[in-house]
Amino acid sequence: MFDFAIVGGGIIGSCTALFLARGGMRVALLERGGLCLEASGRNAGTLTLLYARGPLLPLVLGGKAMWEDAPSWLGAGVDHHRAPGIEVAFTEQEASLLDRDMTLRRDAGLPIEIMSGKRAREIEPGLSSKVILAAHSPEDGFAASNLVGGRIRTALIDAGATVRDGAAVVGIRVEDGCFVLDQSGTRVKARRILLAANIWVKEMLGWLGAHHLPIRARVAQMIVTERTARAINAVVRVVSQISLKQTNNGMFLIGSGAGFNWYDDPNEPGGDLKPENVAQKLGIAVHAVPALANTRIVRTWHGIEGYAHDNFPLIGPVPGVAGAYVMACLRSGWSIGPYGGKLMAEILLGKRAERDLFHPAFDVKRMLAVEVAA
Amino acid sequence: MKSGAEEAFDLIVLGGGPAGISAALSAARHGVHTLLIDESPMPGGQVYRAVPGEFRINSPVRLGEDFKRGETLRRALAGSAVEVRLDLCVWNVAPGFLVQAAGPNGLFQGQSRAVIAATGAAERLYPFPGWTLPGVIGLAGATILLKSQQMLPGRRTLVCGVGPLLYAVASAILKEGAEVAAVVDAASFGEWVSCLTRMASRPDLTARGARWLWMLRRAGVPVLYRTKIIEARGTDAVTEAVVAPVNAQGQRQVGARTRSFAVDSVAVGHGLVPGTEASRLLKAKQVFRAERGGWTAEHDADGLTSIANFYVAGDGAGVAGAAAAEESGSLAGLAAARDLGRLDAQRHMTIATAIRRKRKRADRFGHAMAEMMRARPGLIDAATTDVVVCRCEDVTRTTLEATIAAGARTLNELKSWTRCGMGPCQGRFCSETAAELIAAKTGDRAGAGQLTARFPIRPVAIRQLVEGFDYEQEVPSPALVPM
Repeated sequence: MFDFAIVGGGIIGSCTALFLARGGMRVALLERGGLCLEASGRNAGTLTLLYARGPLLPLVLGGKAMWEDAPSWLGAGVDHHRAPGIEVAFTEQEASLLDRDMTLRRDAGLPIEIMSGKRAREIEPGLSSKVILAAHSPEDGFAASNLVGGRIRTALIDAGATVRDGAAVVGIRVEDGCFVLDQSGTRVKARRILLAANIWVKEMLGWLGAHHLPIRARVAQMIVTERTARAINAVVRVVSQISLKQTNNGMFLIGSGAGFNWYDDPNEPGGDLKPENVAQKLGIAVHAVPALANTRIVRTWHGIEGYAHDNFPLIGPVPGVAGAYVMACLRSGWSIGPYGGKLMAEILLGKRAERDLFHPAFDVKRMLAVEVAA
Repeated sequence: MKSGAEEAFDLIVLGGGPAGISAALSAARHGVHTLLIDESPMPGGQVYRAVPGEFRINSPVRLGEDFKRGETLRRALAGSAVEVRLDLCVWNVAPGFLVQAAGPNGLFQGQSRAVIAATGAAERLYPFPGWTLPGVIGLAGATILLKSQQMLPGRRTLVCGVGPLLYAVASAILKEGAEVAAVVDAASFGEWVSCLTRMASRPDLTARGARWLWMLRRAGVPVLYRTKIIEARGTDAVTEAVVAPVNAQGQRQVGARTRSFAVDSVAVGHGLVPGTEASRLLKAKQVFRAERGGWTAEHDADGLTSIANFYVAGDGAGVAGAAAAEESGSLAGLAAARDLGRLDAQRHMTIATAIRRKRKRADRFGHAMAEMMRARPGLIDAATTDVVVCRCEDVTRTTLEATIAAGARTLNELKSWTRCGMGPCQGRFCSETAAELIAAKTGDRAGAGQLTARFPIRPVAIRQLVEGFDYEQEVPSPALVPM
C-alpha cells in the first residue's frame, strides 16, 4: 500500500512524486512509457515570460527559477542557458496583437519592453530587417527537455520513490476507502492518487465519474537542423506562429503548434505532421532569421498537448472523489513543471495552503457544466 | 513549398540496386506504371555500382563481374517502361504513399498506389580508439572508392572486421597495385569452412571467394583469424593499427598478445544492417532477426509487409546479398503487379514459383554470408570508456553506460537522455553499438527496440524547402484569442 500513486511520469507527475518522496511519503509513479518522454521531453525547452498569462504567471516565474537552479533540487543541470526572449511581428495585425498582449504582461509587472524592429535587431543582429515591432524579455532562457527524464529518474530512486514505468494504467477503482489501480494487469494500491497524465486524464477522470470533459488534443511539432555556426542568441518567437532558438550545441530548434487541428482522441494526431506544414513553419523561421536558409533540417518530431476548453489547466481535487487529485493540461507545463510539482506535493503533505495552487480558474468543476461540441 | 507538380504512379521503387531494378522491371513488364528513385547519379546500387558517366571505360573486364551484371541490369532498365529519377534522396514516405525527395536539381514529390522499399543495408561499425581519425574508413566506403573511381583508401591498408567484404576489399586493393598490411577477421577459419556446404549452392560466387583468397596468399598478405582491431593511432591521420585476438563473440582475450601494423589507412566493417527507415516511417511491423542483420519489416515470401501495397526487397528486407536481392526484387515487383490488379493470381503463382526456386539457391549462399556478418557483441569491448560512440553529437561510451545504469533500457530513452542518434546520420552509425550496450546490461537486444523514424530520413536543405515562400500569402493573420 502506497501513500500516493501518481499516474503519469511527465514533468508534473515526476516532480510531485519527487517532492512527496522527499517529504517522507511512500510514492509509486506509474507511467505507460518512459519518464518525460512525451510532451515533457519533446518540447522546445523555452523558459519565457512572453507566453505566460493570468493566474499562471506566478507558476511560470517559480518554475523558471527552479530550472535555472536545477542542480540544487534535481542533482544535475539540464543545460540551462540564459537568453533574451524576443517576440516579433511582421504585419500590422501581428503588431497590434503583440502590442495588446505584451502591454498587459508589462502592466502586470513583468520585465517586458515593447520596441521597434530596429532596436530588436540591435539586441539580436540575427533578426531579419522585416520585423516591424518586437517585445523583449531580457531574462528568458531555455533548457534541454530531452535530458530531464534520465536526471529525474535518478533523483526519484535516490529519494526512495517507486518508479513503475513501461506499463499503462488501464483502470482505477475506489475500494475500502483506498484506490486500486490496474497497471496493465498488476494491482497497485494507494491511499491517495494524483492524475498527471496530460490529455490522457480525460479518460481517467471518466473512470472516476467525470465523463466527457471538454479537453482536446493538439500536436506541437519540432524541427531541428544540423549543428551550425552561431547565428542567434535570443529565443525568437513570431507572433502566434513559431518559436526558434539555437541551442548550446549549435543546432536550431523550431517549435510550433499553430494552425494544427484539434483531436478528441490523443492517440490519433492524424494528418497534421505533413511536410507542407514543416515547409510553412520553416518559411516563417527563415523570414525571421535569414541565416537559417543555409542549413539543413535533420529531424522533426511532435508531442501531444492537452487543452481544456478555456485554455486553463486542471489543477485541484477530483470532484466527488475524496483523496483524488488532478494536475494536467497546463499549457506552459514545461516552464511550470518543477514548481507546480513542488507546490502540489507541499499541499498534499499539508505544508501549504491549497489556495497557493488550486486557483478557481483551474478547478475541474468549472468544466462539468460545459457542453461538449459534437 | 515549391515542390513542383505532384506526379502520380502505380508503383514507386525506392532504391536502384539489384533488388530495386529487378522489382521495377518485373512490375513494369506487367503494365505497372513504375518509377524508380535512387540517390546515386547512376543505377546499380553498392554492389553493381556504375562508374561515373563522364568516365571512359577502356577495359570493362577489369571492372569485374559485379560491374558486368550491373551493366546488364542498367541496359534492361534503359530498355524498359520504368521511369527512372536519379540524384534524388528520398526524405519522406508518408502513409498513403506520398514520396518526397530532394536532389541537386530540386524537389520531387510523387504519389503512388504501392511502394517497394529496396533500400539496401548500411554498414555496422563498432567503435574503437582512433576510429574517427582520417584514414579510417568503412569496408563499404572502401568498396565505393574502389568500384566507382578505382581509388585506393591508402598506400598500405589494414582490412579488418567480419564477413566476405574483407576479402573483396583486400583483393580489390591488391588488384589496383597497393599494399594490404593484413586481413584481420573476427571469424575463425573453421567458421568459414563450416559455411562451405551452403556456399556450394552458388559455385560461381564461391569460386570468386577462392580467387580472392588465392590473391591474398600469392601477395603474401597475412590473414589473422579470430582477431580484431583494438586501436588506430596517429595524430593527424592514422599511422598505426593495433590488433588483438578475440573469442567467438568477438571479445578480446585477456592477456593475449597484441600486434601492431604501420599503415596509412584502415578499412573496417562489422557486417551489414538492413535499412529500415522507410518501413519504420510507414510504421510497418518490425521483427528482429540477428542472423539477417537485425531489424527488418516483417514480410511474406514476396516481400509484402504488414501494410497493404508496401513491400520490402533485397538486403533491406534482411541481409542476403546481391544475387538473392535480384530474385527478391522480382518477387516483390510481381506481387505489386498482382495486388495492383495487373496480374491474376494464377499467372502470378506460375511466374513466382520459378523465381522462388532460383531465389532459394541464392538465399542459401546469401544467408550463410549474412550469418558470417551477424553482430558479434563482444566486438564493442574495443571501445574504451572515452571513445565517442555517437559521432554526430559527441556522445561517449561512458555517458551511454552511465545513462543505461540510470535506467535507460531502450534506444529511444538513450537518445532522449544523451542525444545519441539525434544528429544528421539519424543513428545509422551509433545505434548498433548503443543497442549492444543496452543488451549488455539487460540481456535483451531486441528489447532495446529501434529509434523512432521521422521525416526527414535524410537531411534536407532548408533553402530548397522554402524556395518561393511568401509570408503575406502563406501565413494566416493571427486570431485575437483572449488573454
